[in-house]
Amino acid sequence: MRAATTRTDRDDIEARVAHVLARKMARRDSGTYSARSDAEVTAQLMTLFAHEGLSGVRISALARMTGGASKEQFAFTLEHDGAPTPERLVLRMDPWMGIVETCRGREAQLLAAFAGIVPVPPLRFVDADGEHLGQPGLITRMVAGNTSPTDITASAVSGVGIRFDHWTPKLAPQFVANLARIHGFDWSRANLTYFDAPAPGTTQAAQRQVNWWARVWQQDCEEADPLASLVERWLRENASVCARPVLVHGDYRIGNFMFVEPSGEFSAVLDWELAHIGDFHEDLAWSVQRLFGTPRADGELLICGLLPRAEFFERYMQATGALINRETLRYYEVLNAWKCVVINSASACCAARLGQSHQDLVLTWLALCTAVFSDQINELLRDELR
Amino acid sequence: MNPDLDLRLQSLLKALSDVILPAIPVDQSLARDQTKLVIGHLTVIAAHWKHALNYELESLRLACALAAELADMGLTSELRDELSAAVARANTLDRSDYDDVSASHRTLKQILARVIAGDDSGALMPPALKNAVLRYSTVQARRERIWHRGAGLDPDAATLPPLNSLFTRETR
Repeated sequence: MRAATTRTDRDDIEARVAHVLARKMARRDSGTYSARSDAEVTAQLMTLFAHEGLSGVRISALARMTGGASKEQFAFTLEHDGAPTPERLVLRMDPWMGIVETCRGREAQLLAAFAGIVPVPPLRFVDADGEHLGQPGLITRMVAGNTSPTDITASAVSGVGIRFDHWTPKLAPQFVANLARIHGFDWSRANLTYFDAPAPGTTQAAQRQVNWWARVWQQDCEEADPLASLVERWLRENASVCARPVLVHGDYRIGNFMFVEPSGEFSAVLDWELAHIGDFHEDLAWSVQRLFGTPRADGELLICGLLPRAEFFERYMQATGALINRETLRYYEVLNAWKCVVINSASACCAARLGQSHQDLVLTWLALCTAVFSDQINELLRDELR
Repeated sequence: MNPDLDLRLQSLLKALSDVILPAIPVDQSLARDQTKLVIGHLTVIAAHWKHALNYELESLRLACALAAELADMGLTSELRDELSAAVARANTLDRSDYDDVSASHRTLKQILARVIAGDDSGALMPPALKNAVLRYSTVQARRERIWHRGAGLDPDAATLPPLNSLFTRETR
């Protein structure tokens, strides 16, 4: 189904999303950002734990973690008078600017909501507005496992380039099953106060995504792009109707799940920062992006290194009972590729130029793949050429 | 020029790979990852630097061609004037000055983006405009993928021709 009109309210963005985007702009003139030192992180954690009422706090074995493209992450051990044993935890914290600007409060609400439904890192503390940590952050329990097999060597940045090979039969069914659980989750009964649901049976789910990323483009764009302008207009003119909004993970892909060896059992679905309530096609369209795929020995691209495209969709429909609409899927494939152009071309380069991330180098590196997404859009819209 | 830029880049890469990276303790993961990325960036830059001006000149030429197509598509007189001024500027600039070429290309794309976005009246996008932009983008995106294939991020890098092919008449 398509929108009957193209005139839309461009300010229809979830309130919390609009808030974090405005907060980013308020920091824009703050100068450059440097990676936090261990001493700074320890002091900030002590402030948070004091606010949480913990006494006799000892923080040890603090170690920076790498792998993501937007947040600063640290592993540490927490001991305090109220805990019988030391606890290994992970702090996930915003730099001033990253490749995406998102809300730790939303992420924390989802980790709490999905506990026991899909494997997620158990939530321990959250500072949604950075009142105590200096910047927004959340703390989870450390989860065992890896994002890539330890017996396969492949170079990867932010998960891109991971290979699973002989692990695939163990991982692929869980990849589909967890996505089905996420989409089957009854968000209306959960404590998701940071989220605004789109109206079912309307184009609001799609329009809000377009508005969100159009605003990011407007804020961060350093070099205009004729294709990006065209796609924004196309997305508004062709917005899909979403019959039944579901919880969309938003970044369900290679690099964002962990599993333990040798069983191959999933131990965590990670990176819920882009999650929102919307159309299930959006997650499917995200997972199948070429950049997240790995070619099999016979040349066929495996979705997230796990399954051929058709098999991925077939298994998803079997698991959920949902019917995939090809036009809606294509709409979200275009939307997601455009969103990746916004993220990689605009936000990554803007953050790096302003020096407001702890890893500008990763951001400029990831910006090199923008044309992969642009070309994907060209391919998707090719049959509209007259 | 001796040492030339290639030799200096080669020396930087050797020092980073052979001396600096091995000296970083394995528990300093951020420093190790960033050093590997410095090596990656420098490797790509070493392949790019000689061609950067030619690459940007051809990108500008393609944007000018798109501007010529869109100029006849019922623009407001203000936008049409801006577009033709930007094209005129592109046609008269110092073609040996990378910064000038790059700035001209950016300005032109900014105006093109406004033309393509249309006004807020809700009028549907003219098919001719969509066709012209998609044809332009198909060529430009492929050029960019070839330009950046050395980064190793493109899942279909093996199907792309080498960087030098961008500067031969056949590929253009």
